[in-house]
Amino acid sequence: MRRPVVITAPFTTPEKTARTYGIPKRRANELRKMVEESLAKKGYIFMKAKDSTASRNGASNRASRSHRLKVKVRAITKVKSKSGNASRRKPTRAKAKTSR
Amino acid sequence: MPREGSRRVPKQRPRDKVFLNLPYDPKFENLFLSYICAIHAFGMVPRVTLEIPGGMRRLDRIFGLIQSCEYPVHDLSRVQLDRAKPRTPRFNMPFELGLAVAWEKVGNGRHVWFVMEAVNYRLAKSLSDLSGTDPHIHSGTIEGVFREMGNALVRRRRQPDVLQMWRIYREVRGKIPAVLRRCGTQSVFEARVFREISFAASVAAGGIVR
Repeated sequence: MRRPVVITAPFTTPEKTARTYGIPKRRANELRKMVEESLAKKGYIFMKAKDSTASRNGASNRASRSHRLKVKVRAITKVKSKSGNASRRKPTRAKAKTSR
Repeated sequence: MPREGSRRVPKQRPRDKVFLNLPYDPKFENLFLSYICAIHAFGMVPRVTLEIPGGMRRLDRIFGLIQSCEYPVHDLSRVQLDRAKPRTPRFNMPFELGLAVAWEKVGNGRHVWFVMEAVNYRLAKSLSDLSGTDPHIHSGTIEGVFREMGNALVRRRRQPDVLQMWRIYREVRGKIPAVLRRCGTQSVFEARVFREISFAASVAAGGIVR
């Protein structure tokens, strides 16, 4: 029986594989996206959702996160205040009776 | 012998390339894919003669590729006669195995080659010069290839199991129609298709084997 070979080389990255094969960056990105989306669907990896506005205006992740939080807090408080006022709201007046 | 610290010390290359010596046969497509996926599961890069571009003499190119890979895997499971007349067996794979053995003997001694077979004890009949060498018997199945690759190679960290290799295989299998469509071909035994499939397997292995 042959002894197994112990591999000590570091795990190859997809970037290095693409370089070894001479795959153009654009095509490598396409293939990578295709496989990663499929892996994410099956739950093997978690893909970060891209914040389109943040990427457009160059906002950092931390800043955009705090902005999102503020918006969320504002929305919650608005909803709360609405429901709070609802109990104090004056009952609508009954329609005045018209006598003939 | 160059001393460490001097300029002549050659930079040690990572030993992460596997030369695959396989038949390029439509019936062998599943096993071809399974070899690619298993090698990527171990974090290594498969190299095949399909990649070799034209220009140089074919034999020189094949030998160059064998020299550049530290772990050649030779599948000798297709030893039967082909259907086309005149009916002949395939000699390419045993010949390339001979080149790898010779390179192990006279080269830098860093070569470790593996022989794969589908049927037990057949190698002793078809290539008795290798008596004393135990081939890995995959029984012509995908699972067998995964099992035998797991027996041949070991990683201290991130050792992949057969289930993970299956996941990579299914992932890559699902991407093949899109790759073939894009490459305008029907066969996986083409240089560009092989490169793209192998890259997809590398991405899948990165996500699945942790």
